[in-house]
Amino acid sequence: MDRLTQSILVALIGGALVALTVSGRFALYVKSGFGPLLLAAGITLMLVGIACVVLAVRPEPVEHRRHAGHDHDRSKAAWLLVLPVLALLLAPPALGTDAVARTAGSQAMAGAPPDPNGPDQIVTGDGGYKPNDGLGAAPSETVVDGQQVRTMAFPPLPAGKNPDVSLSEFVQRALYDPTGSVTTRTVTITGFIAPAGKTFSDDGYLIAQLIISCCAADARAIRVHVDGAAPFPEGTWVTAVVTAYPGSGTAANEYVPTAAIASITRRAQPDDPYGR
Amino acid sequence: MRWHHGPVTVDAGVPTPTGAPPGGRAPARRRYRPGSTEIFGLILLAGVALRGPISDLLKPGGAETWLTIFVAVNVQALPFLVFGVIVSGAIAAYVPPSFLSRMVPDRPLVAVPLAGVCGVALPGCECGSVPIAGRLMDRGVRPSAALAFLLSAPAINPVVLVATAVAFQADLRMAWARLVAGLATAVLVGLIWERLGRPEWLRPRVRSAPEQEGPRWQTFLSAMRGDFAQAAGFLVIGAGSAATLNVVVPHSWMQHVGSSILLSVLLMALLAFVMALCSEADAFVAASLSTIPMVGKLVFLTVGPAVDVKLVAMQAGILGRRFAARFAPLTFVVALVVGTGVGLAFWGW
Repeated sequence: MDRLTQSILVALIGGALVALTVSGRFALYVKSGFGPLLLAAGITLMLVGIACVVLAVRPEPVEHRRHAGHDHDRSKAAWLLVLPVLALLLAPPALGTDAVARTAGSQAMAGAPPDPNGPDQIVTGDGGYKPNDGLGAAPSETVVDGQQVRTMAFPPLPAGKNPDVSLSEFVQRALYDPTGSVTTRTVTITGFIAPAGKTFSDDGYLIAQLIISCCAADARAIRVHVDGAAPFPEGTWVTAVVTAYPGSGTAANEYVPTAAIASITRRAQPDDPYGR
Repeated sequence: MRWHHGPVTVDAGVPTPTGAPPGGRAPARRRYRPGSTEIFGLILLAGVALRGPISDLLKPGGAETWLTIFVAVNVQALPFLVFGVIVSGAIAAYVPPSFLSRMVPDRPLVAVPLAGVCGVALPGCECGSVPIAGRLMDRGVRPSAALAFLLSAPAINPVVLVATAVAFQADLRMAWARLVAGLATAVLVGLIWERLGRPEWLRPRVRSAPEQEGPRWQTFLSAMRGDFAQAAGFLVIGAGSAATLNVVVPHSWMQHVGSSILLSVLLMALLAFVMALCSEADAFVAASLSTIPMVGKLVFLTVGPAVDVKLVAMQAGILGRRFAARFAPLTFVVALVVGTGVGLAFWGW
């Protein structure tokens, strides 16, 4: 690829990055905190690309001689950059049900921050927390594999009827909150409908969300199981008022709690479809 | 033509990819190759025209997931790569080779660890440090020292260490263990390369324009443009393989290792290689793997920033294929061994 085409391509990629960021679509691919970085990188590439286009089209023999020998001037590798530009044209959507099936795994927690004021902050044998067994706070004398069991302490839920709770917080509270904050009252969660998969033998469905810590390559599924037939097609984003069945998330079902639905409504995909 | 060949710039006599003679004979260079821009334009037009049918074709199964991950890896790496080529272009345009050779000590036993420690100062992730390392070699920095810098910068810079500490709040030793293991891997690989590495394996594609012809800012711009096109081109290969492995390799692997240290160490090293996560994000992924022992997680965090599919592609593009074919296995083994050793020292069996 010659110098001029390279320069055009660099400017184009910069422009694509800026457009991606300004339109907010970048949140489909990377964590939303990346916005300012992407914008800066996009503007830099645009400026460099445009300046290089000017340099390349300007007939200047001295300039040519100066560049002679710089073997990037005819880089074959640069052709590969056409691929992500084309991929962006196809505008792939945010990860959805397919990624949930691929990345689903145990939702047991490990290495979460112990709260110094919370009860029983000592690691169990597998480095995780004792799941909430539905019997209230785990007794502090409990010892598993020679180590004391710990449960988690959560702040009180926001006041009001059916407060909004992120899907991952709902799952954590359902599994680990000894006070039963989401098993004794209803909360509002947001996610999309996904098939129950092989973890559940009955016909139910999942309300799921993917959480990412950097980009879509590190996505991990957060799942809540619901009994019965799905009210909407797979992939539909919903807001649901739910309460968790105590002790429903176990090792056998990869610690996916089951929720009882009070109401469920369709909604648009959030601007930032990934949780954290 | 005044060339500032560093000790590694050995391509004299090796044809450049386009077959143009090295050392740049101006007439050969000036030949206009028609089509480059036109071909590019045609591809782009075809892409715009066919985007509807193609995206329908991709709907079922993993193809769409692949495309999303492919775009995501590229988008996520670009800011860091841009940062890397800004530094690399600035070195090309504004740092005279004599300055670097004065700054870097002559004795490898001093230079390599020093370069490793200097990695702390570059807050970025692994994509950005590849063009910088290539440029440093070009400017006469001893390859072993530049490689130690290449390995340590993404592993132990403050941003990465803070991210690790946040992800492992329950056990802050992980951040320290990562610092020790990352630095030890970088220095060890550097010293081994000093001993066994041969200059002819390295064929850096980044080469400086001759000094003092034309304004510096033009050198800066064209070095940036060239480095970016080259490195990002290979990033695309890496992103493609990472996306493929991400879709193909079952994530349930991680769930079934149990607590066997040996098995988990091997599996985590392989996963780090194929997943090609950004070094600023890998700690969060490692922390979420509840069944893996701490030693396995540390190996994941030590191998990942040092060698993965994305990095091997970029190193092959910037430093040469013969280099990458030797450097990648060496780094993999050293990072695996060092990560395991440091992990055992921190957490025991």
